[in-house]
Amino acid sequence: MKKNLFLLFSFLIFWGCQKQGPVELIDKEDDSRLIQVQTINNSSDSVFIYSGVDSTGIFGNENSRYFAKMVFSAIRFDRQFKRDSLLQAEAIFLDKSKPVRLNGRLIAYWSLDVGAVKLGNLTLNKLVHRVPLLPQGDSIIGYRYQLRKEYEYTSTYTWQITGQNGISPFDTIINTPPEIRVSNLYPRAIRISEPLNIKWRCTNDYINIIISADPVEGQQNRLIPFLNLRIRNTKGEITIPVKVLKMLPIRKYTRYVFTFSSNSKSIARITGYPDNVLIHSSSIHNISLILNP
Amino acid sequence: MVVSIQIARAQHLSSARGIGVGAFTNFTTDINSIDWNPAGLIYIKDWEFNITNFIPTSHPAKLSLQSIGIGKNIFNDHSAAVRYSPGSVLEFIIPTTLSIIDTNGNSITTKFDKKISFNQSYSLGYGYQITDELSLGFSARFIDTKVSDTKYITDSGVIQSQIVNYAASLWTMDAGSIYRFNEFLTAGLVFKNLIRIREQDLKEEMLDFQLNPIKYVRLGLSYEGDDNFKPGFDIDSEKKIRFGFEWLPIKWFVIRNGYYSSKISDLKLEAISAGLGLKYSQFEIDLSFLRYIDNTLRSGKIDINNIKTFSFTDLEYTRFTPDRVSLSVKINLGKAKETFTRIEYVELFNEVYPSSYQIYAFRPLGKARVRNVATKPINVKVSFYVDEVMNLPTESKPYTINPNEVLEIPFFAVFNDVINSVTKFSVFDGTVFVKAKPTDEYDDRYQTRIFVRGRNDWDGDVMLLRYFNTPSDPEVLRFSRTSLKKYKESIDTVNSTLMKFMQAKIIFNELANYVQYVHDPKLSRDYVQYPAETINLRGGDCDDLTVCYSSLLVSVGISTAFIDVIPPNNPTNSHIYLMFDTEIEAANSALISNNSKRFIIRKNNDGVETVWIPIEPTLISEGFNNAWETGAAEYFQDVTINNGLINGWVKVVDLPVGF
Repeated sequence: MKKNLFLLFSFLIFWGCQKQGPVELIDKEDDSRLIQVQTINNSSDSVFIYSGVDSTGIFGNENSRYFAKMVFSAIRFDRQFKRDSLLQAEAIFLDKSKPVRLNGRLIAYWSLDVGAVKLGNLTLNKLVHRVPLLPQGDSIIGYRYQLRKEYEYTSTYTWQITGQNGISPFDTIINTPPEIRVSNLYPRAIRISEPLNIKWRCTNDYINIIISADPVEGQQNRLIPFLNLRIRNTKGEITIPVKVLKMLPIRKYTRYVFTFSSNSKSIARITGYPDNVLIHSSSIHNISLILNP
Repeated sequence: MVVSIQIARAQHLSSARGIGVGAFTNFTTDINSIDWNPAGLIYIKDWEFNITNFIPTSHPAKLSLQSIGIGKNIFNDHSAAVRYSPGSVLEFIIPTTLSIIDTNGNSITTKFDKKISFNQSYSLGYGYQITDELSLGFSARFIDTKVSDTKYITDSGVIQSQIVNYAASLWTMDAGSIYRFNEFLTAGLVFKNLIRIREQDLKEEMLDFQLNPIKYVRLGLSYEGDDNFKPGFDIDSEKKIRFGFEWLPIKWFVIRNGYYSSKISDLKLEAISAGLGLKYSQFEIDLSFLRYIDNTLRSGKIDINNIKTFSFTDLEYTRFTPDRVSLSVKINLGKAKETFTRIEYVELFNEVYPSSYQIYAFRPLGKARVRNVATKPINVKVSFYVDEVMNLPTESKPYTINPNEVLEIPFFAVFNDVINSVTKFSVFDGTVFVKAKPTDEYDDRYQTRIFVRGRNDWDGDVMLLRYFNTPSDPEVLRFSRTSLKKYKESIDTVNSTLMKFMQAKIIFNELANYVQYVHDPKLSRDYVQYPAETINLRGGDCDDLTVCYSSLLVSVGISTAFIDVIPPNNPTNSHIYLMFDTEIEAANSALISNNSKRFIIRKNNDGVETVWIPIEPTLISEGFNNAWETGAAEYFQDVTINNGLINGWVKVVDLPVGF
C-alpha cells in the first residue's frame, strides 16, 4: 500500500506538469480584423512622387504600376481653426521608354503631351513636369495636367482627352465613389496610448485612411505619408488599435494629417498609348491631428 | 482598455481538504496553511510532504500541478514550510490579428496576442505555538507579473514586429493566529497582505496590469462539540462568507462539504464543494470537487468588457476559474503521528535510596503533569525508565483525560540490583513517557534527572531502614551461627521457652566482644552500614548497630522491630533502637522478669501476645543486661509515660523473620 502511495505521489508530480490554458479575453470591439495596414513606400523608386501626382500618397504601391493616371479628388481639409474644400484633378502619361536615372538609379520617366485634358467642361492646366536633380537643379522632363477649383461633388464626371503625339482622342464617363465625411474627429491633440475611434458617413465598401506627417503646416505637398489603412467599411466607424498608431514616428513628427478617402477606379485603354490608364476618383476628408504618446 | 487588477485572496485552492471545507481558517493543519492561516503550520508533526493536483472541468481539462511543498516541525513549538505553486497562476491572453499588405500588395495576417500572467510560484511560512491555546504564524508569497506584447515598427516602409516583455514582482506577507478558547471552540484570525514589498514595477504603459493586493482580515470559527463532526465558519472584510464541515463517520475516512457565498450584501451562493479524505499510516489523500453556480465566465473565453471593471480577489479563485477536481496527497515522515498528549512537567518526589529501591515499585517516585491535546477524551498511561538501573520501563495504570484537561499521573520504578553498586551520590538520566490510546508508541516523553544516593545513604525514614537488614548475608549468617555454636552446650540445657531469649543474649554479648559503638561518621542519620560492614568494620553508630543486631537475630529466626524515636520538642535528637520477640507467651513473662517495665507484651505475627525485650544497642560494650535495662527504660519513658506511640513520634517497625 505504501509503495502504491509513493507511486501515486510520483505520478502527481511528473504527470501533473501540464499547464492550464489562459483565459482568452475577446475584444469584440477590436477592429483589427477590419484593417489592412500598408506602409507607403516613400522611397525615390516611386516614380509618382516626383511626377507631382499623388502628393498625398493616396495611391500607394497598389497603383504604382500604372504609367498613366487620371485622378479626380474632391477634398475637404480640416485644420485647427480652418477648413479648406477643393476639387482637384490631375493627369499624367509617362513614357515608359524614357526613364530618367540619377547615378544609375531610376528616379522618373519622361511624360507625354496628350493635347488638352478636360474634366467635364473644365480644361486642366498643362504644366511642365519637373524632376529635382539636385545639385544640378530641376529638369523639365515633359508635361502634366492639373486643375484645382471650388469643391463640388456630383455622382458622375466626364474625362476627355483631345489627343496628340500619336495619342488618339479619348473620353469616358466615371461614377464617383460615395462621398465621405468624418463625423467625430476634429483637429485637436490626441494620445496614441488609447485606441482612436473614428466614425464617418460613407457607403463605400472600403475606406482608406492615409496617415501622413505634416512637418510644415498647411503645405499639402510637403506631407510625408507613412501608413495606408484599408478599412472594410462594415459599420461606418473604426477603432484604430494603439498598436497601429504606434507605428507612426511620433518622436520625429507630432503633427499628422489623417486622410480619409472613398475611392473608385477603372482601367482604360487609349489608342496610341501602350499601357493601361488608371482612372481614379476619390472623395477625401483630411483632418489634421497632433499625436502625443 | 483599462484593466483594474487587484488581489485580495479571499479564497485559496491549494488544498483539496481546504476546498472541501471552504471555511478552512481554523481547520488548516498542513503546509497549505501558508495560504489559509500560517498559524496552522504548528500542526505539522515532523516532516511533511504535500502535493496538490487539479483538473479543471473545462478549457482545457489537463491534470496540473497546483503546488508541492515541504514542512518541518522543530522543537515541537516551531514549524516552517516552503512551497512551489506552479498552479497558482492567473493568465490572460488578448488575441488580436492584424493584416499587413506587403510591398508586393499581398495581405499577410499576423497575430499579436498580448499575454498577461500572474504567478504566485514561491511561498514560505513559519508557525510558532506560544501557549497551548495560542499559536501565531507568518507567511510570505512571491508574486510576479509578466506581460508580453507585440510591437510593430516601420522601417524604410517595411513593417516589422518585435515581442516586448514587461515584468513586475512583489512580496506579500500574512500574519495569522489560532486561539483555542476551550475544547469546543477555536477561533482564527488572519491578516492578509499585511505587508507588501514591491521589487519591480511594470512600466508606465503597462501599469493597468499591475497587481495591487488588497489588505483584508479574515475571521474563522470552528466548533468541535462532537467527536466526529466539526463545522466551521469564515467571514472576511471583503464581506465574503464561507461555511462547511468535516465529518468522520469512521476513523480513517472523512467527508467534507463547503459553501461559498458572494458578498454579504447579496448573499448569493457562489460555489459549493464536496470532498472525501482517506488516512492510511503516514499518508493522507484528499479529493474535492468545487462547483460554481454561475459558469458564465468560466469557459476560458470571455468578453474583455467583463474585466474592465473587475477586481480580482484571488489568483486561483476568480470569476473565471472553472469547476475543478483537486487531489492532495500528504506524507508525514519522521516521527509523524497524531499526538494526543503532552507532558507539561515532571516532578520527582524523592531521591532514590538504593537500600530501599524496592519500595519505588509500589511508592510513586514522581508524577507527570499530562495534558490532553486531542479533541476527544483519551486513555493515558505514564511510563518511566532509567537506563542501566532498570530492566524495563514501568507503566502506570490507565487514566482518562478529557480534551484540553491536565492530569497529574504518578509513576513508579522497578530498579534492578545494579542500583546497589552505586556507592556515592550520582545523577542518572530518566525518561518519562506518556502513551495515549489508540497510538502504540509514546505520545510524548520528558527527559528528567533522577538523583541516586549512595548504597549506604538513608533518608531517616525508619520504614526504609529495614531495607538495610540483610539476615541472609553470608557474613551475618556466619557470625550468628558461630556465636551460637560457641555456646551450644548452654543453649542445649536451657529451658526451651527461654531459647530465643538465650540466643539473643549470646549473640548480643558476642557482638559486644566484636564491635563497639562509634558516632555516625556523617554526623547525621543518613549513612547506614549494612550488617556485614558493621561486623567487618567492628563498629557503628546506633542505627548501624541496630540494623546489625537485628539482622543477626533475624538470621537465627528471632523476630525484631525497630523503635524509632523522634522527640517532638527536639527532633534533631532522634534515636533508634530495637526489640526482639522472645516468643515467651505473655502469661509466662515472669520467666523473664517480674518487672513489667523490663519487657513489652506485643502480638507476634501469629497474633499471639508474647514478651518482647527492648535493647539499646549503643550500650553494646556494657553487655546485654545493661542494654536491655536501658532499652526498657527508654521505651517505658517514651511510650508508657510520654505516649510517644499514641502521639506518633515513636514508631515501631516490625522486621519479620525471613525478611
